[in-house]
Amino acid sequence: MSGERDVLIRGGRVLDPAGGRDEIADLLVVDGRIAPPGRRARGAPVVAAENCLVLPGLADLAADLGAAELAARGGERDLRARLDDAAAAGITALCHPPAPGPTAASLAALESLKRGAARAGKCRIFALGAATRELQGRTLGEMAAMRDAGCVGVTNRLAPFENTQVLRRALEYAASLELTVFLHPLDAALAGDGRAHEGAVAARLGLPGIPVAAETAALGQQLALIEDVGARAHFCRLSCARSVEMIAAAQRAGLEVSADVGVRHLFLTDESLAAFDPAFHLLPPLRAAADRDALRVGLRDGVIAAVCSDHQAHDAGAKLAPFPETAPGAPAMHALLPLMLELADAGALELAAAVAALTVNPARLLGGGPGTLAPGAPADLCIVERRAWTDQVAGSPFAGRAFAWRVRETFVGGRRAA
Amino acid sequence: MAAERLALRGRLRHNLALMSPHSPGLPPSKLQFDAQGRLRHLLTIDGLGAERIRDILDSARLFEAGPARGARKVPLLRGTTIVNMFFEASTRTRTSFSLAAERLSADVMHFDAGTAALLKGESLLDTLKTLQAMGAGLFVVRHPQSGAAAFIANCLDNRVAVVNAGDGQHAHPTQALLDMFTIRELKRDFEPLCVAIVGDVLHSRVARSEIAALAALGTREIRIVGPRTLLPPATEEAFGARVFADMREGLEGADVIMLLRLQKERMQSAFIPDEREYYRRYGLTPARLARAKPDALVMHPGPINRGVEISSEVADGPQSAILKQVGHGVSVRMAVMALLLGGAAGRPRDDA
Repeated sequence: MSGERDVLIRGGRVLDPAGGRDEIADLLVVDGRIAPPGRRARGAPVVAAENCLVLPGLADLAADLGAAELAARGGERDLRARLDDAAAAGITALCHPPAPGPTAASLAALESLKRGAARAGKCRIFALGAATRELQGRTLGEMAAMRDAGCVGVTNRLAPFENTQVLRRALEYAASLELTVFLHPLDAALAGDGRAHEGAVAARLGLPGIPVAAETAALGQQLALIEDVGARAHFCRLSCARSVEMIAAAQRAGLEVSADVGVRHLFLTDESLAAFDPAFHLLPPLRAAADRDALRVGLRDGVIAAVCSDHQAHDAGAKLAPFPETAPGAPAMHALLPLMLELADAGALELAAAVAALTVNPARLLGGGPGTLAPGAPADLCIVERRAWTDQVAGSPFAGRAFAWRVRETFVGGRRAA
Repeated sequence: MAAERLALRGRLRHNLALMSPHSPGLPPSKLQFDAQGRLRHLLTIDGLGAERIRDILDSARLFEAGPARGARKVPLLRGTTIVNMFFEASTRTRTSFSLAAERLSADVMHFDAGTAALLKGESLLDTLKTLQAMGAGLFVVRHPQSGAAAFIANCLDNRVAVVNAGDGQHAHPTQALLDMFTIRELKRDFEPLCVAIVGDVLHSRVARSEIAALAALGTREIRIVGPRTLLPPATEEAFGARVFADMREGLEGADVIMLLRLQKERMQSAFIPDEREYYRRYGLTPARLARAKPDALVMHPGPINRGVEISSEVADGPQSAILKQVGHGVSVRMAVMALLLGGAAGRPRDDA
């Protein structure tokens, strides 16, 4: 007899970097979990996956669905639509950032998001807690309470720590709770009112610049403190070539540091800003071609472990202004997997490495979430076909671009999510 | 629920349609032309080309000889409404545009957005649509943010022209055109000239447009002179200009010296120590002026800060073209409006 969470995925190319598996095979799901090899299908519904890739579901370290804002105004339907978008992109695990409010409110929003996601059967929610109280950077956040509520790490997002002493203590305190600190290296004073990479393009357009040093100065300071107190840290959204070198050196020196990059920064540069199109207004900013190339190399060499969408779901009004007045960020979940597979097609990265950067690596950073198709693992997976389609997502920096790969179906715990 | 969702989608689509009747993917240098290559807006000097710049200057010359000097008006834009949309205070520029519009017999409407912050998103779009519905044919836009003129041009329909009267630190094309007019009147050709632009290039839309115009007209050498804190990063790469930190070296043998205004707030944000120190290094004194060619022109977009950018002796001296610049502003702006809204060189109007 077959249960409702049984399915036989037939004849796809099963690619599971965690288990070193890459073969054409049938994949059987029984009771929402990957069945061991040799187990009989016994009437499970069949999904034909010939000529398709069968991958673990994506774990997205940074996709801001605006859940806290939506919860505040009762936008449950909007949240559902955004979870649908995630599932349609093959994403089965999302990392939810802390909201700027009090701990209790932030945890309540997290609970409601988790409940909403579970009800919708869309994706699993992982969460980060606030490293400082209300993200104000002055005193420590209630990290133990947040850990007990299920947070897998802490972060201050892009909000600055008031001084190096607060940062140092946050690192120490988090280390004592065995929490990873997710750091965004950006010096607030050097970033100032900058809106674009400081370089020739911003100079011509008259856009205030964010120098490379805004990232590297913060990174250098943070690395020095991590070395000092022996904390575990993850660096979010690298944007410059120099940052990759600094992280690599720290890793060679034995520091417990990892890093990720937003997928747009692997493809776009500041040249895209010439039309003042707010879809390209991002933070950290799109930088020079040499930076983009170095980020690709850093990914290939394993210095950068994960690639995330760094998706932001804005209301249309947020982008309805002259470029410097628009909110930074743009939708990107839909482009995450297609772009990474194109990177593999182009030979910039092994296919297995490209998939690992989207699945098992970020899952490990989230405290050993799924991210694998090993027997016994929850059947969070996606089926991807080579089929051309055009980006028509409003506000996407890739609008009008053709993608070669497309997510056909997504399963979460053996249930079809998209 | 499905119906509600459809309604929501419909509303979103409506908003997007409002937002961009034209493609937002075009840089201002291309956005300002229509499919036939005619100028629909003046957003930036980039992409204009030498020929069109010369046409505008020639046409300004005709206006200069005629109505700009006397009380006569030309009936060229009778029945056309021009809206001065200023999101940033500027009496001088606004007055210059108003005079130009009145001398062309246009009706002028003033729209002062005292607090630009109130005018964003939907409310800005609503205002633009309202003014457009009232028959405005041309918007003169001044805004504190770079890219604002192109944003507004993108929000309006095809029949409305936009003149950028200064957007953030990006561009101020009519100021650059009137400066080119002044140089041409006094120096004729650009090819043999060495022009030194002095001061706060980093924050200056005027400098960006001047550099683009000088380059388009084939100026032999463009120099940028100023402290590094007030120069954009990658200046040489971005503008193809030679950079000098030393004023004397930068002025050596120059034919034209274009000074930029120094804003008070630069001292507070640690760009330079104070005005006295600025004058000490970059103030244009008779001794420094002597390093340039004997017949070198001294220009400044105004208003000047005596004892900061320039000494009174030089400002009021025989080489100063500062007042001439102001006088040419009206005729150059007349030429631009006439080009955009009609006249021999203009485009035919869709609703004509």
